[in-house]
Amino acid sequence: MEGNKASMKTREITVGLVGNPNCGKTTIFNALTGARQKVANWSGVTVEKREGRLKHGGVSIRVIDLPGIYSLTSYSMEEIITRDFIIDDRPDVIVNVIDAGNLDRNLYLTTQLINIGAHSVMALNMFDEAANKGLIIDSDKLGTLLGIPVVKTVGTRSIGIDELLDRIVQVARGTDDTARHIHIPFGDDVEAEIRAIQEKMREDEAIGDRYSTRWLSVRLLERDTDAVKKLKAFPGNEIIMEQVAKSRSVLERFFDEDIETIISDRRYGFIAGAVRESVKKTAPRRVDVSDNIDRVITNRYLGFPILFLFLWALFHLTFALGEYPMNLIETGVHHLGLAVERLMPAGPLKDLLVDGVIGGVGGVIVFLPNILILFMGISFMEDTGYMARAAFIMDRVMHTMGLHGKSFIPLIMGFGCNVPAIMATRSLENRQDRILTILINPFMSCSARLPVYILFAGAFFHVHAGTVILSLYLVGILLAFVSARLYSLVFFRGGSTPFVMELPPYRIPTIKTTLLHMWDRASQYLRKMGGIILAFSIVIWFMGEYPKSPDIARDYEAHIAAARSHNVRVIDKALADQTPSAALETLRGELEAKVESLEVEKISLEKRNTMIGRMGSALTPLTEPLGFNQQMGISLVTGFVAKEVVVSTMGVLYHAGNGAGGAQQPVDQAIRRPEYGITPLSAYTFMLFVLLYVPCLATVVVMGREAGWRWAFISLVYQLLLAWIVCFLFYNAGRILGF
Amino acid sequence: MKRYGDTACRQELFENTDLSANMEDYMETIALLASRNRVVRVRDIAKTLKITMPSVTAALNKLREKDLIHYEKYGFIELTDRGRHVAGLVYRKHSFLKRFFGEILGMEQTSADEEACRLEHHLSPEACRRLYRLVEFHDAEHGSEIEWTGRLQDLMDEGPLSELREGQSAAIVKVLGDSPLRKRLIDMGFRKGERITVVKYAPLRDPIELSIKDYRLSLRVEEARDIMVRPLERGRRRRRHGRE
Ligand SMILES: Nc1nc2c(ncn2[C@@H]2O[C@H](COP(=O)(O)OP(=O)(O)OP(=O)(O)O)[C@@H](O)[C@H]2O)c(=O)[nH]1
Ligand SMILES: [Mg+2]
Repeated sequence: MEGNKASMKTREITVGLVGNPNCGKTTIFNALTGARQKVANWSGVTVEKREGRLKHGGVSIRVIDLPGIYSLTSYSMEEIITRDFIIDDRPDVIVNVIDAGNLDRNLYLTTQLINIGAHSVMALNMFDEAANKGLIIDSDKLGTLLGIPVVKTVGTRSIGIDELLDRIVQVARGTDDTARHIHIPFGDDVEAEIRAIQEKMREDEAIGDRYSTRWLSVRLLERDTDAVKKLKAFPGNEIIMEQVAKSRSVLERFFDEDIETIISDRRYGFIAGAVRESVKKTAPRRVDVSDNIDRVITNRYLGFPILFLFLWALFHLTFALGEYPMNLIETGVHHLGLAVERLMPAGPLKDLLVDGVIGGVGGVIVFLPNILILFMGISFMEDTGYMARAAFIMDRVMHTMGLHGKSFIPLIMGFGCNVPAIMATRSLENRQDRILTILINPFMSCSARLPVYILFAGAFFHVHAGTVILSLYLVGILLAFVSARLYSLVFFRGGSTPFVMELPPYRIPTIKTTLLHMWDRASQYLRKMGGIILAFSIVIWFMGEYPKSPDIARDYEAHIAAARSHNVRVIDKALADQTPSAALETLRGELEAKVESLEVEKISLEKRNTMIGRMGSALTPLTEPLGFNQQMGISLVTGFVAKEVVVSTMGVLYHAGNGAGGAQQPVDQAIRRPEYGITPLSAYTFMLFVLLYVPCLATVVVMGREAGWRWAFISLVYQLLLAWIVCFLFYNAGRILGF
Repeated sequence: MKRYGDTACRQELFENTDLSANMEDYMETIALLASRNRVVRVRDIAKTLKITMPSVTAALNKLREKDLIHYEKYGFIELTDRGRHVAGLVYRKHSFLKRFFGEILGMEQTSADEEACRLEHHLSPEACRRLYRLVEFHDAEHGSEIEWTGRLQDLMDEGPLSELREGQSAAIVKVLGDSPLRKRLIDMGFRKGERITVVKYAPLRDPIELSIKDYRLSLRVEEARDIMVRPLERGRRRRRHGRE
């Protein structure tokens, strides 16, 4: 690390953001780089390394946002990422982000950073909150005591960011006055043993080159398995390990405490001293309302009702409030269709545009408002701090299901989208909990399934649509729990893992974050529209149109022409016979109906021959027992790519089905036409199937990546089977009961 | 209390009364009321022992048969000489047992009283004598009381975090076990002497919300069992002792 300094002026500076969970690292990262990484008020939001770049006074800086850690001994997956980054990648500067309102515990990590000899700058973040608590922190004093330049920051308002950058550059160049290496004193007895171990390490210079020997000695004393692993890489490690064991037993005997306690005690002792000298406590400027809010939110009697009411209101609003903008967009799409219809010359291109593109993409885009509302609700939960409380009150329930309270967060996030939800499981420490949570996540109805629900529930259940949708969410949750038990019975039998979770203070979500969350979602949705959904709409349209069947077309056209001319003759005759005008009208209607039915017959025969038609027939043995028509079967297949495609596929298929000159009908009216044979029962079964069968492609991929492909495969098979069996039972039971 | 605090410690001071526990309680109550009110009435006894007047009357009749009290219907009750002796025996036992639980084991006044009430009827004279010696020893060593009873009481008070009531604070004594959880908790500031408060139990009584240093943490009851603490406010004891 020392050698870097000379070349620093020309090279890019690498900066790592390190700190306890939820202390505002990502907020500072965003303020530094202008990025829009996710910020939320619970621990363990960031689960991956994230990079950003910026220039400050001509120096280019690479900033890396990291998952939060409490100490350099790490357990959960995302914490290991951070530790490995600090220790193996050795960034030029570490920005140690500290929650100023919770100084003691946050500084513990700092003492460890000092131990490894990192070059740090401290961002004393959440300074506003500390001031409200009545803490007066002398940051210069603190900096001098720790040998680390300290900058007061308020990440949410970008206060102190420039100064932070100045200090980063100074530390990187080695020109900062405050930055110096201090030793945290462990007391004479411990120090003597550390020296003894260091002595043994000196025999192999390679160790000292790679790691700080003081740090390694302390870690070894503390029985850190990772440190042991690191040491094993060097020859002669046995002698060192022997010395470590000897030193440890000497100390433990002397203090009558285990070594972890001895060392952490010294660290906290050092911190207490530093805090005593640099912090003054005065009367709080503002009362902390968190406790008062919690008196209600996690109240013994009100806790659960409030949680359920909140979730119910969220889903209800998603549907009810979303309907207005949805209707607006629907009308827009409709008019666009009509305009194109009018303006373009007839031909395959026009059909493609009207039926394929507008029918498909238009059918899905209308759900954008619903999805935004849903995400606003989830974002509210995450940003206020309610999410952690929900996990807190749900832990008991989750525990009975073989899950973990923290699993509740990814599960709720799953209502938004399963992909980030599965990523969020990284904050679960235990692999078993994690895999289980991943496996059941697809049962959480993601927002991509919402369009299907809204379409079918709206078309077939009218006023009860909201209740029907809620029931689907509940069925999903129920089956998630059942499956969790099933999976853990078959695959896992380990004990439970501890539930150590911080409950952050309530914070008022900034409009900026909420809007950013929503915008992120909206843009993602729109990109999906422009990408996969558009592509699939076109493909489906082609598959639904081709291959053409010229014979059938010719035959039927002849038939139709014959019928038409026959009609003309009949009417002429009737006119000649002076038939009264009322009777004439009826006659005309009858004749036209005959022609129309011929046309429908023609189209359905033509469809049967297209690729989609053949696919539909091939699927019939599977879909018929569930009461699905061919279009439904097909859209389930294409829906594997993304669940919204179910709706766009229907849009394309039914649009095209409207056929020659038929009035443009929105999909929700089209699917109700009697010739498609969808009953409320089969509609519900269909929604059920969409809820249960394979999650989308992206979810399967992320499952494979996070849990392993074996699990992704198991889940795929399980969900297909489950969906089919449940739907079969449901549909047939419903029929027997006479629905 | 001091009335019986004579240093002589003869075995016969603790001889058995041959009365049932019930009857012993009556004798004790009568002696107590007599020393407090001068006159003792059925009503007073019924009120003190929380039983109905007819049952008190029935019991008094039995005691009169044993020649332990003077009692006329609707009149005052007085102890006979023999009665005074018996009541003395019972009361002596009670008061030193109460001191044993309260002053030596450091239990709360009311629960020390209750424990003494329950135990006094069942101890053998020998056990009584030895316990009495202990209380005496404690008295004699008065100057060094803090030394050993203080330490003893701290030890007695120690218990798992999971037994604290909502709103109660304690000092951490030790985190037991050898799990990664222990290390994590130590890293998070669970060190000896640190003040920790049980903020609340979750609605289903399981995870506990704790307040330590300047933050809030939740932990399952099962995990809180491994954290040994000493309650900070004396008198507000854990569930184990007083009833909640
Ligand atoms: N009042 C106040 N709130 C802040 C400040 N900085 C961040 N926050 C809030 O603190 C919460 C946590 O912020 P994040 O940036 O997600 O924290 P993090 O350290 O990245 O968290 P993890 O990724 O979970 O480790 C969010 O609700 C922020 O809005 C600050 O300076 N003042
Ligand atoms: Mg973060």
